Amino acid sequence: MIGKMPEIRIDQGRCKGCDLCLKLCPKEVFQESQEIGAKGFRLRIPELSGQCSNCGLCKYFCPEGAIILDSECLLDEFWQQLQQIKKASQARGGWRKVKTLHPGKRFISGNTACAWAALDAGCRFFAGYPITPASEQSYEMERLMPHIGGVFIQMENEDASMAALCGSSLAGAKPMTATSDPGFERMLENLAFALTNELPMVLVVAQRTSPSTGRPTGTGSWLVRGARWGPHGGTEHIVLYPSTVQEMYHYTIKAFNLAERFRSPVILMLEASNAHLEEGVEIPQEIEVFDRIYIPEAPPFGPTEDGTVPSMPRFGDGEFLKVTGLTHNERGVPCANVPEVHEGLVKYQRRKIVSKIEELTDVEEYLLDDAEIMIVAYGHTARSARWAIKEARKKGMKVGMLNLRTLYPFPEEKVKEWSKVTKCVLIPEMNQGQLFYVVRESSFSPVISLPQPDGESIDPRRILHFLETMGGKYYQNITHILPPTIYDPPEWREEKGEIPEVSSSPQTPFCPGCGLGILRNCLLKCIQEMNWPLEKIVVASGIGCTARLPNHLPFDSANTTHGYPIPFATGVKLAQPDLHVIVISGDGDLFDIGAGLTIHGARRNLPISAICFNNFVFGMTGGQVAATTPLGAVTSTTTTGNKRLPLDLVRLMLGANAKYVARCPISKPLILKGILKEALCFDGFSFVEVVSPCLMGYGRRNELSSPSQIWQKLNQAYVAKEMAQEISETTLRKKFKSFLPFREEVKTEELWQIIYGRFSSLKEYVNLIPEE
Amino acid sequence: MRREIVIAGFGGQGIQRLGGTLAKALDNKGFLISLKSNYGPEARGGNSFSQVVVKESLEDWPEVLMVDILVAMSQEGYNAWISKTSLESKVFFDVDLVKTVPPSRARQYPIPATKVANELGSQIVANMVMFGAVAAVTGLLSLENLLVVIKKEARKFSDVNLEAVKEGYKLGGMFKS
Repeated sequence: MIGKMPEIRIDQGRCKGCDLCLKLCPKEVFQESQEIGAKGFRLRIPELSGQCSNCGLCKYFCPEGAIILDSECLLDEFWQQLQQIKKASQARGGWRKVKTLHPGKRFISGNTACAWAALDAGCRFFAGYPITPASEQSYEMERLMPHIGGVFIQMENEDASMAALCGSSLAGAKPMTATSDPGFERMLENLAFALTNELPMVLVVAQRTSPSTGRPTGTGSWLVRGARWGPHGGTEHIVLYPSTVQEMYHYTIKAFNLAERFRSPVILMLEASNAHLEEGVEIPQEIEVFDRIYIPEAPPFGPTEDGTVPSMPRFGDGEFLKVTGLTHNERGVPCANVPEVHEGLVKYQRRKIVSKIEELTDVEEYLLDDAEIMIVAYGHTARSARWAIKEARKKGMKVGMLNLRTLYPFPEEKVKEWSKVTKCVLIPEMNQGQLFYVVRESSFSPVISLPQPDGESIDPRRILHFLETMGGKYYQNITHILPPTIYDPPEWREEKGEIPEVSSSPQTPFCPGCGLGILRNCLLKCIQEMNWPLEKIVVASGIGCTARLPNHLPFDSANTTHGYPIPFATGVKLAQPDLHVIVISGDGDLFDIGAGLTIHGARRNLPISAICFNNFVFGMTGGQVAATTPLGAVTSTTTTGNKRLPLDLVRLMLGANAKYVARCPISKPLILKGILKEALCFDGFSFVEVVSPCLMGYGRRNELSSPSQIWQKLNQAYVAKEMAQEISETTLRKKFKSFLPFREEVKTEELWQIIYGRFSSLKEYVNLIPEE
Repeated sequence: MRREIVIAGFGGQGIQRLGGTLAKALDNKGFLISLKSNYGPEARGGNSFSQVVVKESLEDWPEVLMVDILVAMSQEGYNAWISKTSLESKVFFDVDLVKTVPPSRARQYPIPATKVANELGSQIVANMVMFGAVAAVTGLLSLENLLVVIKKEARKFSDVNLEAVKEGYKLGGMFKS
């Protein structure tokens, strides 16, 4: 029986002019017309719509969803559905009082004080990687988290911990990590991501003796400038520097409250000498904690009109939350090409902190009223200075101390104020002199650095000795100096008119005929069939072409840093287990830079679906060779052919104990949809490799000049799992030069759904396994 | 009054345990204490030390400047710290482990801790024998204080530890008279 013939229409606004409809429609409905459209190609039209058999294949293969049958458009349906999502109805957040877990007098180490205080302040997510001298915080977290419904996870490195923190923060948790100088530097990329997306979190950095491995059991304060200037972008953020163990308890709570109030990562600096120090601590019965403010439907990012902190929804609130490391507007939508938006964003993020500098400044002015010499100190060294000052005062010397408990935003006004009335400023530091330069910038009197870069805490007698000998002589002959001022130019900008409004839309920026659109069709169709609520789906991606796909999906999504979508997704899933977490990223992201992290994602076996869009190259950056580029293939960085064997992603994932592994070429959209459905529903880590060579980066250079040619080639190389089991290995090898045998795994593990099929290049010498 | 105590020996003797127990006992008694231990493989397989400082105020310098009480359980530990003692210092050392005792201004207390511990049947409680002796001589802690903290800290092996600390307290008492 012949079904009703559908009414076929092509949305010319969406059509990008690839040749997929012309070549793939089994009934050859679509033809090129003589008319040339606004984009410069001959329009595609459903010329022979009378031949249509209503198979519906075009719904899948049109990457842009431009072919509309019976005025039904999958993309539009989803975007309409978005409008109807029920948003969380109640605002939340603000101050509340909580009971502490360990009230009373305790004798604990600095690390333990931090961990306990974090739990009291509401921290329920801790991700870390072992490093001296911060490891003890992990022990406490691992021990206590299960009892209070929190999550402790030891990640595979510090950057992964930081990515997990970003994910959990967006999923609503108050996260924390603890590390040391080398670990902190690994975290920087994701820290900058957290800074630009205004994610509340606390980083405890217990410093040791740097640079490099240095003296891992020594102490120091080698990161006092790195903590502020380490992350690229020089973003203003809060850095606290407690000194005693008692202070560590209070300042950890303060760090959490500030992080939540200002929506910013807060760094708490310890030193090995006080992180390992054990002292008596008085823990109050009750403390005040602040929870981030959420107002339904308010813009989730800055800049805000009055410079205040924006509302912070979490994934699953139905806010259609878009998170990206790119320059973004108030709704989180990327607008990387609008310079005004970027300037507005970074200026707002700086102002958010700097405008509150008076409130944030926390310094102790110790015996400064009549002081001639001012010691500026912080952390453990402040205790050393205090002893020296007491002794010096006994000898009649007028010395005082400015103890910096907030290191950044730098309490510049306090230094200015006191340096005007003192004759000399002395800065003892457990490094080669770092804060010295910062103080010098705002001091009215001469600044002397007293560095001690040996990895030991500064003996107070050393400071005393300096005061008694050198210090006095040095400053007597120097008169008034002025601190430098920063030239703040008046605003000037070429008139450009209105800033364009940017919002998340189904229109993708991808090349005509790109497989990413087809992957999106399959994914949306599959989600539609499963009837999953859109607000319960979160998609994480990394960097690259594929990573931009989630911006054009109707779910909460995050465009994380390069290689880190899986740790990020881990954070989201652990903090909010009822969300469906999907990772969609490219081969370069998941298997070049992020190979180690992807392996650990599989090993951990959390219910996350990872979809790797394997396009054989680095697509967005210009078609460079990737870990998946076939042998012999020409790329922009292997112009004479790739000489290295590619990674076999399926086997790699099987080796990493992933329980669901599949591979499918993009040319089999219906099979792909079936695989995606199984993967998304799989209770455990599932991995799907979607093979779809990049047209511009790979195809052009390897004699595949059109999308339809790629489809043809993929279909030739494709072997279904069932078939592969029947054909002998030798036959397969002959038939598909690049076939890799996985048959044994299939026999042993029924769960594993493996679609065999491997794209083989046209080059004759391509062969992944040498012929015997 | 500020008191600075250093316990020095080698890894495995329970130096950190002794430091920690002493610090907790003093903390229980109401003193303001800072405890600093060395860390890493050196502390487990090489020279180990533990610093306990009784402070006058909370924010006082928490590390050792001049050793008031030195407890040496190895020759290396003795040699490393003896130069930091003064005329008023009290130096406790294990007679079987510290053989070379150069003339020093400090008051010296030879304690046969390892020997006593062996007699009790467990060499690892030598640190507790020392603990008892130090408490008795310095008068910082009463036997009651010691017993309370040991019961809390060494739950599994509290019997032999309690016995050791009692023996040590007796040994220390002999020096007092």
